[in-house]
Parts: sequence; C-alpha cells; structure tokens
Amino acid sequence: MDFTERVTRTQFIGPEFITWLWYQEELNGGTFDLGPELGEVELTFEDKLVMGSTALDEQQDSFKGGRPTASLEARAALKLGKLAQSAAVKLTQGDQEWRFTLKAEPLMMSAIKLPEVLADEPAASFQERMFLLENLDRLYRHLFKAFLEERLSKEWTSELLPAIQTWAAQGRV
Amino acid sequence: MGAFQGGLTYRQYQIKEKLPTTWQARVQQGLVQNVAKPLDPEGEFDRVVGWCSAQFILDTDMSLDLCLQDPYLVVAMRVETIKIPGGLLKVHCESEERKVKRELKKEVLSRYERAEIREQVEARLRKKILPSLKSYEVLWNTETGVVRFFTTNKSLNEELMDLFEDSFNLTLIPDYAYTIAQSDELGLEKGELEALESIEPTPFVDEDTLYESMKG
Repeated sequence: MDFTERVTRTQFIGPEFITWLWYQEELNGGTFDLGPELGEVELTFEDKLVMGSTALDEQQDSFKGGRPTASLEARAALKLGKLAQSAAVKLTQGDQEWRFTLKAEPLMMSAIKLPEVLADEPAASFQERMFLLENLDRLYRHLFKAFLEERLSKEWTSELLPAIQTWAAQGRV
Repeated sequence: MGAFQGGLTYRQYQIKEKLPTTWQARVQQGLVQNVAKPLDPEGEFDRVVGWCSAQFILDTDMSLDLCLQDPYLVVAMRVETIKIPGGLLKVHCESEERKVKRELKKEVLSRYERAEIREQVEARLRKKILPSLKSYEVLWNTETGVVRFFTTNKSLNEELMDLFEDSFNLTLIPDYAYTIAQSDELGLEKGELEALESIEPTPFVDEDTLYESMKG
C-alpha cells in the first residue's frame, strides 16, 4: 500500500477523534491531563457542529447556535451512526483560551482565535502570536495522542468502545 | 486570516528531510532563483508562481535577513494570473469573424480559421488586461521543520509543494491523521504504530441502537 492509499484509508480517524473528544467532554468535563510538561487542559464544544457518515449516506447534519452537542438532534445523528465532521471548540490552559474549528478530513484546526496578544510592536507581536500558536499546536497533538493511545490499545474493543456505544445509545455516560 | 493578525487558517506540513546545518545558503539561493516574476502579457503563460515578501506583494527582495524572524522564515507565495473574461473574448472573436467573412466573401469559416482568429484575439486582449495578483503567507519554523501555508485551497497547496521542492529540494508532507500519528513528535510506541497500519473504522453505535434509530 502506498502513502496516498494509507492516508485515504485512515481518514476515518479524524471523525472518530472529534467524536471521542465529545464523549470525553461528557465523561470528565473535557479535562485532560497532558503530563507534567503541559499540565491540565479543558476542551469544550461550542456553537457549531457538523455530523456525517460516508458509510450510511453522504447527507450531513449541521447544527449552529446554543450547544449542539447537548441537542436531541445531534444525539439522534449519533445514534444513526454519524460522527462529528467538524466542531467549534474552546481549549483552555490556565488563563489562556484558544477557540478554533476542528475539522476531520483532513484533520486540522482552522479559524483559530489566539488568546490576547499583549505586545504592541509588530515583531514582538508576531513572536507572541507564534508562541501562542505553537503552544496550541502542541496541546492539540497531545490530545490526538491521548485518543490514539486508547484507539490503538487492546482495550479499545473490549472496554473503551462498548462504553462509548453505551453513551451514544443512552445519551449519558 | 493570516500570520500577522486576526484568526489563523492554514494547512500544516512537516518537511520530510532533515535540514542541513548550513541550510541558509541553500534557502537563500532557492528563494532568489524562484522569486516571483511579472507575468509577460506577450508570453505563453496565463499563470506564474514564485516567492515574494509576506509584508508587501510587490516586494521581491528575498534577502534572508529580511525574511527571517528567528526561527521562522516568513515569505509568501505570489500567484499572478491573467484571464480574459469569457464574454469579452466571445464578442471580440465574433467581431473579428464577421470582418474576415466580409473580406473573404465567405458565409462560414472553417474550424481552423475560427481557431486562428481566437488565438489572435486572445493575444491582443492579453496586452490590454491587467493581471490579478494574490499572495499567501508561508511560515517555516526552521527549528522544527514545520511549514504553515495560509490557505486551504487544494490546488494552491499543491502548487506550494511543487514550488517548495523546486526551490529547496525539500519535500513537504501534509498533515493528515495518519501522518500526524506517525510523526516523531507524537512519539507513539512501536506496537501502536504497528496497530495503526491495520486500523479499521469502528462503529460508535451498536447494531441494536442503529436498527432502532433507523426504524425511527
């Protein structure tokens, strides 16, 4: 299998990752311990959510306003086997907040709003923006790593997935 | 939505090769050799792509000391295109065809004649139309090998990958779930990387729930 085939074949990891984050938000309030270097972060879903499934059909459900992840409509889409294709989220570390849209295919962040930049001088402002962006990128990758460590573990099929399926079916963890 | 202000939207890449310690000379040469050049209205190309300053689209001084904001190389990919509006081309071709018909005393022109007229009209109109200019910021973290390109347009991203390889002889690997998972930075263990190779989608709903939901 060549590189392009591998990339294409594993695109489903993106929707699974975002939906897992949704589950984690309800399981533990979206709090993640990313280790001694990065500490604790909190991820919350905001006012936009798109759900879909290439396995079922190509129809997508878009939710806007309020908290879509708490809506009956989004729950119904989940029960139909749809997964999150994109979601507006807020990531908090200490007193810093990043807001962005997490997209599944290809897996990426977009429309990123950084915490407030304090420097006025252009060069210093650029360096501060880059510092905040690199920090976000590090947190995002560690969240993805936390997902993959569960997803690629032996416990995924026997313990973790059944718990997620119960959450999807009953609407509670 | 750019590197310097406002929200940020970009495609992220990791450079495949390890950057040599003496990268500065190679990068400087690559920038200069592939600098954005003005599109020639009498030439054969409708589109030209090259490097320019991230601060000002017409500034093509690619001196490394101007482009480096340690550790970032901050440049832009400039795209200059010339496109004759379809409607304008059509009426000018028709006007020219009418003229030729009168001159040749013919009621119908051959496909060859019409194609030749179209070519001549296109060449004439190209000289009168101003090309459009756009630039897209490129941030290269020279310490980590991460490159961010501030547009998600697919064809522009493909052009960046080509320009980058042509300029620096370095390959950009786009971020996908698979490539992020494989990256050294993520540091997955050997067993996990092996599992990644055979991973299959799993349903987040069980069959009974799915059946009940579809029954509605």
